[in-house]
Amino acid sequence: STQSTGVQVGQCGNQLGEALFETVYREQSSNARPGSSASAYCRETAARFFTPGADGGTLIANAVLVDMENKVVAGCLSRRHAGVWTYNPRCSVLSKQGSGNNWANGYCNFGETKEEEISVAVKVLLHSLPDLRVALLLMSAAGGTGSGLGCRITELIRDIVPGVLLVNQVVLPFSQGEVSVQGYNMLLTLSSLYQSSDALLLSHNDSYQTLSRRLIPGTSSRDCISFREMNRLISSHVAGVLLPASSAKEEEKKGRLIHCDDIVEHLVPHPCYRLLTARMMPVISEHSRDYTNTTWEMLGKYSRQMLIQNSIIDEGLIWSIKPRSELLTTNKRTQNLNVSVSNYIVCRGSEVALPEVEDRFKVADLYRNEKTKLLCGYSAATFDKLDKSLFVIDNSAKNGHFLEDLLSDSWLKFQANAFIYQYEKFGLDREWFKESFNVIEKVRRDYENLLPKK
Amino acid sequence: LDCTIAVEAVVSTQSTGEHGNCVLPVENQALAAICERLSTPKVDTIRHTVTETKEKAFNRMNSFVAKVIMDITASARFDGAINVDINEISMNLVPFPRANYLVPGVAPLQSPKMPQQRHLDAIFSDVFSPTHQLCRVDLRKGVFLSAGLLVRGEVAMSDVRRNIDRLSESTRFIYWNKDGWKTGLCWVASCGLRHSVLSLSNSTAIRYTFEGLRERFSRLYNRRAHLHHYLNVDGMEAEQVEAAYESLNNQIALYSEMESAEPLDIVKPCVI
Repeated sequence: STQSTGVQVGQCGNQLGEALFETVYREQSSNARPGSSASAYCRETAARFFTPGADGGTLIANAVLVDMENKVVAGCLSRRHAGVWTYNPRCSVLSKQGSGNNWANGYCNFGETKEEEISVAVKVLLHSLPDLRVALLLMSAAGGTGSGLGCRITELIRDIVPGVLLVNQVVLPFSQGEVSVQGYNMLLTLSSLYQSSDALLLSHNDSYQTLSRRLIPGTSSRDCISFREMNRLISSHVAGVLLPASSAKEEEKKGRLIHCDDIVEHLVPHPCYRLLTARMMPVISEHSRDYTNTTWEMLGKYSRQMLIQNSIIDEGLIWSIKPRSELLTTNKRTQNLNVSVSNYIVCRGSEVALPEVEDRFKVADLYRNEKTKLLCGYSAATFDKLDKSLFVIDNSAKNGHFLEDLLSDSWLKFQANAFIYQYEKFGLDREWFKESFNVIEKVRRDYENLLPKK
Repeated sequence: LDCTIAVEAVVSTQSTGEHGNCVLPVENQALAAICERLSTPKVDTIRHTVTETKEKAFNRMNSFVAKVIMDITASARFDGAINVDINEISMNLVPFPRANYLVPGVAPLQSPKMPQQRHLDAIFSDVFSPTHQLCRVDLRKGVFLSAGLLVRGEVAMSDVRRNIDRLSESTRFIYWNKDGWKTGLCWVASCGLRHSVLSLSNSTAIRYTFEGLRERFSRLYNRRAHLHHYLNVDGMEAEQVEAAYESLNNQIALYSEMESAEPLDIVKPCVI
């Protein structure tokens, strides 16, 4: 089995991490029933995310918790979730000052003063995970701790265990600013991670807020959606990808288990392309489930369209945008099709291959240089009690779109030298910023060049 | 005693400004005007001149300053959807070390005895109006470098967003910080109010206040009037007064420059 660990950094990272472990545990216990395949699934799930506790029947989450404010982590440590699992307090690092939304404070200041303590916490965790293959770092890009310190911790873990694959789950802020300097913080985060991490799984607050509204009956756009709702959704997407899955079952032979590092290696075949997005179908509220009848055909159709338009919501889809090979007329007009470097899809609720889904994603036009790069995972065990669910995680061209606005807004500020002194106070200089702009501009261009020229 | 106050004001503002992260300027005259407006009952057409002791008057004025301090520290003391501490205020609202004046505005302003009547949206509009600033600054005359909104009480994020959208239409922000709002939301309201807003405006309009100060200072300084009072004190040198005056000039120049700032031609960064 693949052992993996979570590293929760900052307020967002810790709240999201807790939601993720809750989701994973929920899946492990709801799929527990007699039968060899079900128990294999549960064993694998538990092995991936938890370690057995000292007293039988309890579990300890494979996680390190870090924050420069104490409320959130203290809360995580105090709870015994579902009466079964807890966090290990020896794997936590707290402080009281906060990072003041300053990336440099997180990276340079706390990165240095807290390095020793964080190293110790990580090594305690590694002691119980001799077969660690993947580390998932959860953080936001706009604040100060998750972003700055999160980047430093990524480098630290790379130094301590160079063979482990690093995946950063990065939450991007609402585009209508929460924080004036969020652009700078995002730029510095993405640039740093591009040099130290293997893959970046990005979640945009704007998208998850819209998605949350769909799921809560009766909410209008005027209502406040809590971060709690959004975190649950992000967790569903991440869990859906990392929970056990195998290649399709053939006759009496079970499929081969797909390990977490297999997934990462498949999704990131080339170091220039490391931005990932996770999507899921169906998207329905609890109370709508009884009225909805899904087919694999439909799930495949909708989720592919979401990929094509780079959406995580199954609304507002423009069906006329499809691969050239599926157009009725030979339309010379270039389409606004998304192009993937690589895709991974997981069907939960079926052990056998589903050609009606696979064929949709095998179309050559959807891939860079028309070279199909698709990995399919299956699991008889369902997700969130949904009869059928389909997860897509892609490394596709449109994942880099948001970088355009990020670069131009931040460049305006940078040219005016606005706020730079706040970062200089902690040791960053204009050269560091220029380097970050360069790195991100290159990423933006590389992704843009994947799309056919107009 | 307006004359000597000018000298003191120049020297103290410049030294605070150079060392403090951010300065929240408050003027007695603004506070007095607010108190006066509140104490005059609207029903009466004849003005009652209330003679109260100086102490009582200053107490009432100081209560507004106290409110500002309470509002800024509310996030540290109570919980809310968006906690904002002082470091974050400074980080988000002060783009340059010397552009660190944050003019406080308070709404609603009312006598403690009046039941709360102002609608939430009206509170957001009021908090930027000239009569609600604790320093006599007309924000409409300048450009915003940034604006903080510290909201207390039962207010949803969507209410704040809606009001920011509305206010953005009539406020001018500098081109590189068009979205320069920083919001804090604290569930716990001030005593006696259902909800309230503290605004912290970093606006180039403060330069008019500084220019007035410079004017009054110059009139005295050119004739070296009253200067000996200060120079007789140990540790106070003539150079310090000169330096403070220079510093004030620089600050005025900085704010004026930003008022007319335009973006340069190059928009995108080039890959080297």
